[in-house]
Amino acid sequence: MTTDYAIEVTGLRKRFKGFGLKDVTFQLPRGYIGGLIGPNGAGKTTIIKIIMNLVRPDSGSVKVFGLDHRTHEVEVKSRIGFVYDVPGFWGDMSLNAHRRAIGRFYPRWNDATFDRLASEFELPLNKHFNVLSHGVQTKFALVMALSHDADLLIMDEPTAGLDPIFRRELLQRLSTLLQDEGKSVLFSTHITSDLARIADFITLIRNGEVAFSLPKDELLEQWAVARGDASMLRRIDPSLLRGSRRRAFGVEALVSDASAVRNTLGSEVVIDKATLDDVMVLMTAEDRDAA
Amino acid sequence: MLRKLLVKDFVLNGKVFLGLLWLFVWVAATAGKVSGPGLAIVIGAVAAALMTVTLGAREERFHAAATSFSLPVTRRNIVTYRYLAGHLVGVAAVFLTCLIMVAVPWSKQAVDQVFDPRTMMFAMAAVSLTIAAGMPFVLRFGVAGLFVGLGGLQVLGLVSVVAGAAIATALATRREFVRACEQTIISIHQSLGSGAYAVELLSAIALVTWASFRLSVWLVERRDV
Repeated sequence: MTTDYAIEVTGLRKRFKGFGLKDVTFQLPRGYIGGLIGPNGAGKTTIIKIIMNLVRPDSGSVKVFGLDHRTHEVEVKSRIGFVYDVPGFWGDMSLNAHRRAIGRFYPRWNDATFDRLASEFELPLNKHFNVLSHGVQTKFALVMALSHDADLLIMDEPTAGLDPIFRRELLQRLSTLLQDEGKSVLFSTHITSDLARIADFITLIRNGEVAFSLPKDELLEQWAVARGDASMLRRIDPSLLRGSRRRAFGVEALVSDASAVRNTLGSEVVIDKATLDDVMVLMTAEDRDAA
Repeated sequence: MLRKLLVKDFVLNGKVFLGLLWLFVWVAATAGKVSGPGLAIVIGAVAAALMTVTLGAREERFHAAATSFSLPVTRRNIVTYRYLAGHLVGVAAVFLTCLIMVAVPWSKQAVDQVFDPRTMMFAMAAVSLTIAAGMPFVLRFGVAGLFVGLGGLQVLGLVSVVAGAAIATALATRREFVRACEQTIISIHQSLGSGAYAVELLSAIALVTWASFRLSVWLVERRDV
C-alpha cells in the first residue's frame, strides 16, 4: 500500500486521571520533519507513545505509511527508529551487547552504518550504558535508531538535557538525513528553536488538543505578534486572534494573518513576525493564567 | 521472532543466567549429599522458573520496557516467548540439578532415584505452575505485581484455613463425603495406572498454562508502558 503520509493520526482520545487527549488529529507527509511542540504535560509524549503502541488509545486510529500501527505492528515498527527522552537500555551491559541483541530484530540492520555512526559520535562501545552521560546515552539511542535504515524517526524530546554543541550536531544530522535519503521525522520538543531550524511542519499540542498543525514556513511568514494597548484586542478580528497576554506596557497578541491586522490597525501597534517561541508562549498563556 | 527474543534476553541478561548457573551448581552439588533428592530438584525447578519470570525486573530497573515494546515484535510474541523461556530454563535447571547431583564425587544419589519419572513430572509440574501463577502478575504489574500476587495468595490461604476451622463443625457431616470422593479418585488412578495418571497431570498442567497464557496476553495487550 502506498500513501503520501508517513503518519496519519485521527481522532485520538485517551483519558488518564486529571488529563486526557481529545480528538488529536494531524498528518506528517513522507519525507518531511514534523515537530510536536507544547508545554510540559500537554500530551506530546502520550501521542508518541500511542504511535509506538506503548499506550493504548481509548479511541481513534494511527496509520504509519498507510498501515494500521497495531494490526501491522511488526512491519510498522521495523521501519521506525525511536529515541525517547529517557533512553531506556540495560544499564549494566555494553553498547556492543545492545547492538548484538537489538540489531537482529531489524531486517535492514547494518553493522557498517552502526560502526560508522558510533565512530563519528565517539561512542565507547565497550562501556556499560549506565556509566555514560545523558548526552552520550542519547547519541547511542540515535545511532541505534539510524542503523537500520528506518524510514521514519520518532523522537521524544531528544534534545532535552543536551549541550548546545551536540544539539546543533544532532539537528544537522537530521537535516542531512532528510536531504540525502528522504526519511520522515516526528520530533517532539519544548525547545522551539530546535524546530525553527529544521522542521517542515509544526503541530502545537495544548491541554491534550491540537491547537494547530501547519507548515512551518506558512506559520512564520503569516503569523505575527502585535503589541499595543488593551483596546487593541477588541479591534482585531477574533478569527485571527490566536492568543494574547498582558504585559507591563499593554498587551501582546498573536495573530494568524499579519497583513490583515496591519491593514486594520495601521501604525497604532507594533507588529513583528512571530517566532515559534512566541507562538507557543502566547497560545498557552491563557492556560497558564487559568492554572 | 521467538529466537530473536531469546537471544536478546541471553545477551542482555547474560550475567543473571551466569549467576543462576553457579547457584544451581552449588545447590545441586550440596543436594548430592542429602538423602531424598526430590525436594532439592523441585525447589531448583521452581527457583529457575521464578528467575525467568522475574527477568522483567531488570527491564523495569533500567526503564528498558519501552525499548523492548518498541521493537518490531507483537505483544503476543513477547508473552509467548516469556512462557517458552520460562519452561526452557526450568527444564534445563531440572536436568542440570539432577546431573550434578549424581556426578559429584560425594554423591549419595542413585541415578534411577534421581531420574525417577514421578519426581521429574512433579518438578516439571512445579515449573509450569510457578510460571502460570506468576507470569500474568509480572507481565502486567511488574515484579511488584508478583509479590502482591504471592502475598495475596498467602492471605487467601490464611483466610481459607481460618474460615475452614470456623465452619469445621458445620462441615463435619460432609467430611465423610469428601473422603469418599478422595478415595474414589485414588482408586481410579490406581486402576488406570501411572500412564493415565501422567496424561491426566499433563492435561491439567496444559490447561492451567493455556489459561494463564491467555490471561497474560489479554493483560499485556492492555498495558500502557
